[in-house]
Amino acid sequence: MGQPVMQWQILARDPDKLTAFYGKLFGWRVNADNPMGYRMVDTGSERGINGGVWPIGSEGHPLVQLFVEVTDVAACVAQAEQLGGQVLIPPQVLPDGDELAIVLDTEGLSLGLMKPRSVTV
Amino acid sequence: MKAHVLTDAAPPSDRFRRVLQEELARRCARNPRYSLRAFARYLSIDHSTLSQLLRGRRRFTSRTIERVGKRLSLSPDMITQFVDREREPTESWTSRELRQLSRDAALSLAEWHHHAILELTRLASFKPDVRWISRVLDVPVDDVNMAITRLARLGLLDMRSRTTWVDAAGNAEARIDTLSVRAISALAGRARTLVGMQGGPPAHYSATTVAVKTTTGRRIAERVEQFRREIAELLEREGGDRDQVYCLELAFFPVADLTTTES
Repeated sequence: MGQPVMQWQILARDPDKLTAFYGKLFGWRVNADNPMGYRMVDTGSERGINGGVWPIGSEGHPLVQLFVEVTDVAACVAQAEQLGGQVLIPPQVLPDGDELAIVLDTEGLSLGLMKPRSVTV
Repeated sequence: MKAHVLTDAAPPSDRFRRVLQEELARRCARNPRYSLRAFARYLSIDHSTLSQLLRGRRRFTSRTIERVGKRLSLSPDMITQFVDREREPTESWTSRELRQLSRDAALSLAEWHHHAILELTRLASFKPDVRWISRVLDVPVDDVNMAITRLARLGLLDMRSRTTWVDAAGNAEARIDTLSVRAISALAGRARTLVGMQGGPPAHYSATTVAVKTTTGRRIAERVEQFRREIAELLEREGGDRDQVYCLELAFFPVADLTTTES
């Protein structure tokens, strides 16, 4: 079955400026009409994966995260800790029903673990 | 009470809880990604236990103070003092203010809307929708999302299901103690907008500056502290659906520094 990378996310200090940049450069479209006000990015292609942009404020550190689909977020978080990772944000259920946690890998890179609401075990 | 102007000579951390709160705050300031869980692992304490200890919902045992104190490289004398002080049944009102300050520092949450978001989750009308929160609090969506991230990272907000968010930040008494000076200043602006609105919810906002004897000041402080406890008990007993979020500010503090001997 595998654990695919389903989405990328850019953490940005100025999300509007960033999305305007990629919109002009690549024609990416942004839609924030959802309960989190989350800037979902549609690359406009059937290949590759889409992404999103999350705000971190003027003092944050911009970076790119990958979101990996899992079937059990809590179990994966526990396993990540046992393997030397760290939990940054424990499992949370978003308003749209997706479940999400953020962990740090052994390099200190943050990684999203997600279980879309449509996934059945 | 928000007595941030203190002339008391008490040490800034005369309770072990404040030591931990300040240490956590320092680590968070150095590393924005630092979390309560990471701190718990460092201290070899279960993270939910640490959360309860920091929020004042659980008392420290002597063994915990000794073990954690050694982990933080505190001196044996200081550890002994903390063990003895933790056994004291009551706190003075000035040490309560110090506890509030270190809690503020530990939370690293100077913006009022963090606390307001947590309180909103207690309303029957709460909607787990960032756009709704943004509109209700008149705070930009991005600021709400950043606040939610911080709250979740610190274990203060639990987005338990798609319809339920839970405030894990503490009981009523702890919640009364949670605002920093900066948050209060920002809320004053909010008060100017909402207080006195025609047909608006009940509200009261008043302040005065008075000259008093020190002994009278102490009696007033005791009355304010008693009132604060009564409000906390009222909040704990409150039943039924909540439908509004208020700012409760209790402030009584000296504004003149009369300790200087310079002519």
